[in-house]
Amino acid sequence: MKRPVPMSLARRTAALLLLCCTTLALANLPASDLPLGWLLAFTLPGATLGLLRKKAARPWDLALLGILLQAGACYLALEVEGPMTRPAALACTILPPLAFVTTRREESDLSLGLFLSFCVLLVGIILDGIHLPLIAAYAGASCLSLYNAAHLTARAASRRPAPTPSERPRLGDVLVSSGGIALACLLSAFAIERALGLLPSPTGPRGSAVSSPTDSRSTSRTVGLGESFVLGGSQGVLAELRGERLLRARSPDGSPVAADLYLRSGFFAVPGLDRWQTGPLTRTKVPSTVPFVLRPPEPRVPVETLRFERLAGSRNFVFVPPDTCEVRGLEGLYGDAARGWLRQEEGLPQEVYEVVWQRLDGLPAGPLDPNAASQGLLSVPDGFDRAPFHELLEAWQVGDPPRTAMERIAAGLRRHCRYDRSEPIGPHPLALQNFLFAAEDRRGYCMHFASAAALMLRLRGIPCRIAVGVYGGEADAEVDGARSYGSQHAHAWVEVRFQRRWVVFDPTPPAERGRRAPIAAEPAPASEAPDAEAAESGDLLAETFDLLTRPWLLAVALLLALLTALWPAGSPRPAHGITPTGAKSARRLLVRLLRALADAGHLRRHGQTLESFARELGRQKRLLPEVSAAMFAYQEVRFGGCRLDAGRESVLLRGIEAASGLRAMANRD
Amino acid sequence: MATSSSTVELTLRGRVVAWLATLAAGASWLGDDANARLAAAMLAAPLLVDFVGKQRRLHHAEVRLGPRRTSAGAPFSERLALVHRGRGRLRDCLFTEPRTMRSEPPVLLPTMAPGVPTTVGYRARSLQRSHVLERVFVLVSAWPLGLFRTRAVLSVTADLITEPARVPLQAEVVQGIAELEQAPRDRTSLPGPDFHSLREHLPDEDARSVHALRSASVGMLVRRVTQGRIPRTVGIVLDLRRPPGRSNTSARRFEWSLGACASLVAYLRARAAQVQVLVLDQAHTRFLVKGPAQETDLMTLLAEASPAPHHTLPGELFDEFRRLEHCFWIPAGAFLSSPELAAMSAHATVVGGEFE
Repeated sequence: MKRPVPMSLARRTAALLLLCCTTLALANLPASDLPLGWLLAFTLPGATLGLLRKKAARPWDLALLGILLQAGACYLALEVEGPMTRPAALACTILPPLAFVTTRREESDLSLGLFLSFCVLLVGIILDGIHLPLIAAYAGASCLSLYNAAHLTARAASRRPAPTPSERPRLGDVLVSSGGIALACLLSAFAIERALGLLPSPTGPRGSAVSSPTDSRSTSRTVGLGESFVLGGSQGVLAELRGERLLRARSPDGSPVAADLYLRSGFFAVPGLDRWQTGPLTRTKVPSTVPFVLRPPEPRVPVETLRFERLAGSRNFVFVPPDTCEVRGLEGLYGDAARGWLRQEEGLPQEVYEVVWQRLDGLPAGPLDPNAASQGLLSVPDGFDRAPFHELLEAWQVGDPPRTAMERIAAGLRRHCRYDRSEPIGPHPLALQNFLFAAEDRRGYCMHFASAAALMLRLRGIPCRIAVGVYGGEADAEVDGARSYGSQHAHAWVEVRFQRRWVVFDPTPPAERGRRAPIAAEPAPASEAPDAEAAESGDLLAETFDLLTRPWLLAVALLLALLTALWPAGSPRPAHGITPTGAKSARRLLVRLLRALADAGHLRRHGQTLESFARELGRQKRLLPEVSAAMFAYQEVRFGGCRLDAGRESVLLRGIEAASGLRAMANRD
Repeated sequence: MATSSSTVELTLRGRVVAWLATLAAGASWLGDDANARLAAAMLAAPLLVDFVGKQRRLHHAEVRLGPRRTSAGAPFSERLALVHRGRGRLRDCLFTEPRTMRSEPPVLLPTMAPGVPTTVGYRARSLQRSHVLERVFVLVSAWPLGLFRTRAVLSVTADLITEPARVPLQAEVVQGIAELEQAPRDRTSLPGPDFHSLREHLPDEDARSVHALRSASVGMLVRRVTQGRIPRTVGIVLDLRRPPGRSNTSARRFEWSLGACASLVAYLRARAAQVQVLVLDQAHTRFLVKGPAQETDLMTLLAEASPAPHHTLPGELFDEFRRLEHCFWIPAGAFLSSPELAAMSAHATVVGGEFE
């Protein structure tokens, strides 16, 4: 037997849901900024006031009581907890009214309470980052609350407090519909959040990673392609991207440039928890007529040539593939051949250069370079707390063999952290600590993945450095086979030093590298990077999830949902016998009849019914029997459910003829 | 059944949420801020879900009801059947008839299953004298989240005849009828009035004639109708003509006059008199009200009546009225100096002559 939902239950549910929303919003506030004592101090007086609202005689008494309670609570909290942080103090101004409307339970309090709790939730997010379960629970509760509020509003509008048993909605029906709506809201919120990321921001287009070089010189937050990379900061490196085009790469023979090409412009070898730096370099300079040789070509491996055209954004950076042999065609080129670091002198206009390189993915790299430690490739930051890193490494079962270690670190990072194009947020002072050790929502972008992976590799004795440059790119619209790279393709990865060469190891989730590249062009990482194996071994579920949560896919889904909703509803399906057959034809004949009567001087007034018009004609002795019969025939068809058969049609036609005869009569009169 | 499509509009709550979502989305776009993006998504999601899940086929509902006759301003109880011809179940719909439910709250229909007639009963009051052939209803729903509101206008072909509002008769009119009663023409009749029939008691009537036993047995107030002390046929001339040279008439006076005519007819009929009514509009309509059928026709005519331009009348039109012992002249069009009225002044009582 289905149980009905009584009206009082709906009101109680509304109050309960508002209480849920308020509690979840308060739970989202960080305890470090807002200790429990202060939280109680800002909520208990308001809640007490709300409960006493109906008992207090005068509003001024209530206000005075509220002031006294609040002042006392603040004094006690200050004594017990001490001062709280400044942002929390500002945010706390919302808490007393929220507690007040939550407990007062008047009709208008539901909307107000939802709004205030949403503000508190946002404050919590700003102060402490996103705690996904809490926010999802809040979104669900608020949707249910809105659902309930809509029902209560309709009930209040009808001014019928007690529905009859037959009118009461069934509990199962209510649960299914409200649950479905809440779930739809959650999915929509997720889809909209992802789809909004597609909007190109005027203050910073979204990309996959690293910042522009201009800022590396102009501000103290030198990031990305410059000589150091600062992790963290209020805006993050993405805010400094300007979306400018960096370079175009093409083969001299016109063959297409691979989409999975890593193009390095620099590296960072000196580690830090908040900043990575390039480290010592041995710079040499060569004349423009002589190629800058980085290493001799490997025998029996084809040598390829790439021609690069530097565009405005790339300044004096020189982008090269990982296994570059030599660079030619640039005037004022200098660099460190052993480390693969290149620059061009400032102010020189030459924008085109060629790179000779080999794809050494298939060749064995040999053991780890024993001299790497002397080059500082195994160093870790000063004051570095290794214990939590070791805990993670043990939890991920990262062993000593380099390939296995790289593979497990990449897989562990992808499980442990979430890729997001924003700075990590959490209780820790450093971005990397928040990225790895925050309680919830450990998020970060490629530089955080690379930094964490590099530190873990070094802790396992694997020499490595962080390389920065561009990755992915997009097919050039002007030159066939060429690829264009912009700052949105900036990327960071790890290069592991083996005895024979550097091996690219990219811990960033494959789906997040080069976000603007087509899916088909999503490459497996170059060389022997373990990502390919990880992908193959198959986090198929994660890959599918990545695909399904693509912003463009969700944007298309949202668009389709909107179009479906906007699709015209069409005319109602006529019930059997509702629409009389031939009513339109009868109407046309009636219009002719009325026109004939109007010509004879008998104009039907606006709004006058046919019966009234006929009566008026009768009073004027102008209602001919044929006209009367025609009107009756029309009424039979229009309202009587009769068909417009030949008999009725002839009656209508005779009526029209008779009405035309009236004109002649009128002329004779 | 004529129908129109449903329209969707934002409610006040929806407008606030939409503004906040727009601001948050703008902030996330300008500042590229993930928190603002999340806020925008959380605000926009209920809007999107509410818009997509909105009940857009409210206009597929069909109203079934019969003809209704009432007098202006008088409350009545209406019962009708509402059938949803769409596919899905309709929830939390508010049903109202703007013409008759101005001061009444809408009726809440919690659920409407497709194809199942729902009986709707409500109190209504038609304020304006009229005769409408098509009644218009409005079905509104804010389900599920109350951020958007769907509104559908349902039209159904059904008569709603709103007769003129009954008005209290002037003292001299009632006095005139009473004097006629006190001076019966037939001295052979019994001293008291003869019982004629029972009829429904109207709210503004003197309660002393209510038949207590019959009222208790039938469950509604009924009153005695007596006969024998009033002239059998009383004449009423309802003059809808305007005075010469005037193109408009006081609507208040006109409506009052129609109400007075209706009240007078009801008053006389309640006393078992026949009423000879002559309505002077563009044409001349004559009614001999002997029973409910003629009374209904007359009331329908009064419901549709409108002021008529001035025109002269043939003298023989009033011959029949001159033979009546008494008649009432109601100058609804404010034409008080009618020569026909002057000719009948000896045995005609003017109703509403000093109205203005």
